[in-house]
Amino acid sequence: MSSLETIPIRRPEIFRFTSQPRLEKPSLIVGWMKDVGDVSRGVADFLAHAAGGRSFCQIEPTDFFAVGGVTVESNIATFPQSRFFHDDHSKLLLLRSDEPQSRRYEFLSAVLDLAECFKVESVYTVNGIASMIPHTFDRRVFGVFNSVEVQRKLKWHLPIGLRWQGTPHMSTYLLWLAGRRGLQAAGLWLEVPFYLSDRQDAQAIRSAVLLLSRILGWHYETEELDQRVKEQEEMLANLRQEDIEIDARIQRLEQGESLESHEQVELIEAIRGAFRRHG
Amino acid sequence: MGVRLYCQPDLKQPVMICGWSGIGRVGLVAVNTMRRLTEAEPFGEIEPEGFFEPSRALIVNGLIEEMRFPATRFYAFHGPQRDFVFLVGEQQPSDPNKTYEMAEMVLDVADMLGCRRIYTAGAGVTTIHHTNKPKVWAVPNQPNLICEIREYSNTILMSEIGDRQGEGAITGLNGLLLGVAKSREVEAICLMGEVPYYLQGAPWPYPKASISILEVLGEILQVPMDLRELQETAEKVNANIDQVLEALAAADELPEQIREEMKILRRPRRSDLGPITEAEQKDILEHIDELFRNDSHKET
Repeated sequence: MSSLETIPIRRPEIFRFTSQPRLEKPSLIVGWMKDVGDVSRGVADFLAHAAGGRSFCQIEPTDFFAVGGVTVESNIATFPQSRFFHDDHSKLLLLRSDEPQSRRYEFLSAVLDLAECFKVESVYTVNGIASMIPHTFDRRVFGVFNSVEVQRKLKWHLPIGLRWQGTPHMSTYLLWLAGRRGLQAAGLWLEVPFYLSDRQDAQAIRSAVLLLSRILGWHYETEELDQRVKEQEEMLANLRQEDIEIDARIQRLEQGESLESHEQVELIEAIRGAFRRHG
Repeated sequence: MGVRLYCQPDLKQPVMICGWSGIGRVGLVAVNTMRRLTEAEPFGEIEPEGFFEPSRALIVNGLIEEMRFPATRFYAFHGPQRDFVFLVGEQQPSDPNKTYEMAEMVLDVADMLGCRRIYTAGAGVTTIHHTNKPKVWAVPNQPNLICEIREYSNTILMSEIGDRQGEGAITGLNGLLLGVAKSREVEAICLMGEVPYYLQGAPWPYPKASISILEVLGEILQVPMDLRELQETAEKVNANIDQVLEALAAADELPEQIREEMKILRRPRRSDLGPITEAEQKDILEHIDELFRNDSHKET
């Protein structure tokens, strides 16, 4: 069992603890607050709720975020948060956090310092990735791995590897830094229909939770997630009935056709407007 | 975050020459060219993670194959008379505290290798015309180096630039390194190749200024260098600048006052362009920057 009483942290002033749990070789799951299809936050919210909803530690924001005021989103003042939760039954250490605006290396290093203190065995990130699939299709999951070993270990769960060349996402940077410390880490990238990118895709979130459960041997009750998926499906089915343009374009996606750029934009706008009208 | 050495070179009282990316990539091109021409071997680097954001990730079939950062690399060269250490930095840290930290690391390496003299290379922005040969501004960190600098060809001290009376500022690592070296009692000289003020925001390098620096370094360090390739590049860049100025002068929406100033820029061959007010300089820069932005968009 590992606890912070026995293991020093390099920069303790970054962390604010309210309790010091004892965990046995947990897995660290990292969920970011803003993401395609809200997949990352959705998974983190589900796991935090399942863990009792009380965080035991947070990262002080001053080094990593602009804290001169607050931003207002959907009429509500928001403030950056980086909170850790734990679930002893699932051997879970969870970070639910906004992406740092500056000093990303220091932020991610602090996260990995804490992971090492708790003797974390493996690190997982979860994200959404916009795709040209219709919402009626299963969400595929693409894997990103920081070593051949972890890729081999997870090949049955994550048979499709992501291909990417360009500016790295925060999750990929975290996996790479974890690899530098010899920590096994993998990223789960869930397909999200592009027209659901700017809202929560309940089906992608449920797929991610179920996959993580299979990988880590969890047994979570998912009735609430199932209900949200059902509601999302009903809502989209109603929209298709109400708007023949929406229906025609989604049908083309279902038949494997691609949409022109302007058609994609129009579908996104139509779905957005319809969701607004239906609250 | 630290210095990673691939091997420990055995050098005799080496001179260190540093160049980072900056205005017109003058310093970077100068030092990288000297490094290339001398076939200096890499022996270490400053670990980039704490200084820079990763610029590129390569993920192949799910596996993170590469995480690319701007490099800050050390090279060594055994010269016939003396040994050299080159530092080539693709980028400078944006955080001033990190800049200072990097300067300290460079001086740590210089100390370890026994470097007692450091040169940095960069750009000096002035009213020179792009068809004129750029001079090299030299700023030492110790008064006893002034006499030596007066002997350098095509080189001037701060006191010889306009009415500066020997005063000015050097931003970034080129300047900071001089300061940190001074606090460690290591001699350092910053060499700045002149860059026309209207090109300071241009998206391409300004090799003419790099050539001037290399000529000075080649002379004082007795390292012969064949600069023909760089000169060819400089000629191409100049031709490009002429084209841009022609296009700018032909622009319909150009204010009359600026149009007159552009005529002067296109009718060159004087090293002193005469007095330009701050407002005029600002207007010209704005128009030229706009044109360069359009031009670079076309290229991409």
